[in-house]
Amino acid sequence: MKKTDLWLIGGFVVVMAGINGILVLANRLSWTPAPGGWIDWETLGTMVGAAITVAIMSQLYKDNPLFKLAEHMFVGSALGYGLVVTWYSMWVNEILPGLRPIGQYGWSAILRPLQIAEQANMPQLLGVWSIILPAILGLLMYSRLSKRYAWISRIPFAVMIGFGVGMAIPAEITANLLKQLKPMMSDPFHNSSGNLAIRWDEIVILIGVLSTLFYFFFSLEHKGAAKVVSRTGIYFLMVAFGASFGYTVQGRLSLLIGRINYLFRDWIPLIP
Amino acid sequence: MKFNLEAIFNIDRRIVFVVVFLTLLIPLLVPYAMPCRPTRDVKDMFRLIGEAAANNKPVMLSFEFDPTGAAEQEPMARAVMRHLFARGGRAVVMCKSGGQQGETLHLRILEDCAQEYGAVYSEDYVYLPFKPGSTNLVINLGQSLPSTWPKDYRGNNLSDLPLTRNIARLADFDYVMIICSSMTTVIDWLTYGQAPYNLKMGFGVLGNVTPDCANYVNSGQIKGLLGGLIGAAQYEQMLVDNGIGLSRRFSTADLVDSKMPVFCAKLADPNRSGVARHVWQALSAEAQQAAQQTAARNHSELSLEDKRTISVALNEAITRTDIITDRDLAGLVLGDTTRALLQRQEIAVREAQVRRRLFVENLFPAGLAKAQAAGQAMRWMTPQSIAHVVLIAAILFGNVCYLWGRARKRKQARA
Repeated sequence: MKKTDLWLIGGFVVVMAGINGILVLANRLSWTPAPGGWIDWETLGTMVGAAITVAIMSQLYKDNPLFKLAEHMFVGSALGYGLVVTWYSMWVNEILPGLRPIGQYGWSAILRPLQIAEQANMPQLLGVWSIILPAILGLLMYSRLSKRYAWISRIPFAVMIGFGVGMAIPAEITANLLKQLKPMMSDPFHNSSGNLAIRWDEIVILIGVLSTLFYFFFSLEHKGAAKVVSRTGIYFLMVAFGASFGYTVQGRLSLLIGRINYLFRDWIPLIP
Repeated sequence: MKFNLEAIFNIDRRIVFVVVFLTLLIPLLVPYAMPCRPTRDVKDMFRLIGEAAANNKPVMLSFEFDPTGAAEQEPMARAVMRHLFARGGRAVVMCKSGGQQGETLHLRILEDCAQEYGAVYSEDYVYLPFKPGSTNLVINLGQSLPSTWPKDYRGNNLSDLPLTRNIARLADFDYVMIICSSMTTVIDWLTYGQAPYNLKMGFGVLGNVTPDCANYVNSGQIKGLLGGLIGAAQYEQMLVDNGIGLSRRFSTADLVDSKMPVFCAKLADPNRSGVARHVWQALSAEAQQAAQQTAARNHSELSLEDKRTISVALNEAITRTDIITDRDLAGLVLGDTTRALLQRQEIAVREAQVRRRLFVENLFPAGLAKAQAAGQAMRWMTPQSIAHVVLIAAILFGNVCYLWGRARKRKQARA
């Protein structure tokens, strides 16, 4: 790390500490520690959050060590937090309690899992085996860390892929093909009551689907009438991309509004 | 000096950032909620959640968001929870992949809304903590809820909780709403949750995911869609339009900070009576001192806990006939809109409570926000809309500059 980087980071910390001090002294930011303590953790969290927000946003000016520091802190804390949450939610809350009947009933829990599951009031279908089998398969994944035993990881992968394909094919066909095709096949000249009525939305969707599909049909040269259909497909695609881009801009602005609200309401109380 | 419009393309990008920043910041400083017209998808979701609550059937909410997308998705979650609790509905809220960093945020939303409407944990709502897995969790939920999530976040067995005792699987929910950030999650739920059980399922998604959901709405697989901040704002508009505010209880959100000195002055008045005396007696000695300080200074000294105590006391007051008598209510002047709302069947059954609430609002006109006050999303739509206008103007101006430059070059080439 360069000396100037250290000066920049040090200067930033001093400036942020100064602003926070002024805010607390001016009673614009409450500092009410819990009885017996001297740190208001909630307010401290707001201060740190504001400092990291400013550091991240500083990248808009140009790449700098403050941004890199904040970025690395985010990646590290997110990964660490995720690891702890996963450890507790899986090992501590699922796997260890699921294996408890082994300690309680000994080998019977493994040899007579169904009876023991019933006695122990376990919700799992196969008793402790519902925990042991997936846990073993999961652990086998780590064999990839060894070049010699990496082939073992193919076993859990094979189970996953077999299960995934078996589950996915019928479900995907139903949800993403058949149910999607259904509205394409409705009568665009009658309403739901069966009366004669032109349903323009259905007609537009039908033209859009057919012309867009045709645009990706390359076995025929797009000339003459084919060119008109293909062009129509392009226009539909452009409208879709435009809508997608518009929504994305809106989404990004919302995120920025959220950050501005945090900085100028939760931290510096300017926004009423 | 020769003016060159094409110079716009060489403008420093940092100037653009500053313009966008100010375009969003300045309107936020002026609190104005932009009214919006709810779309059919938002109305569908509102109707289905209202029906589930009216039929006393549980709703499942999957919170699959974290602070990264909170700006758009927190207002959605709050609006839906408020609607549900205001209508006496019940919800099982779970945290699936994508929300592992959001548990604290989810619990804050639930506790705030529950506190506002007096909802009780384990009877009106239950929170199931984060569990890794995406597709397989949806598949498992379809088979059995208790084996997928044996315990809630407090460590209680689901079979011991009044709300979840009789819920065996996903199909037992009247409506399922997922607040998520990616299209993959939407497709997972539709493929393994909606299609096999023909569930009524709605989504609250980030803005950039919304257009991808359109074909699933058209096919009827998605029933109700909140797309981005505008979706949340439209749901809040539905709450306002349907008088949810009118029929609900007092909340800490009703106690607007900028009006607190006037409110506290009425509470701290030695000649206080009725509701004011009831609320004053509910406050601790420290809170009473804080209220007096707030009344004296032009700044709120009340902590969130004090505000909660006040809202609880106000809620108690509107149910007590010895504090607000029928004689008090007889003198209440109602506007046409209020009269129309009171004639609605769903609100008419709570007319006495609503009238008592209006009485308290009239008593503290400056201290309480209007029941129909807009939510966060509606307020945030004002800078959002202004920024859109600025961006559209910038795009048009950029195009004009480009065309003008092209025409000039052609002219030069001909010369």
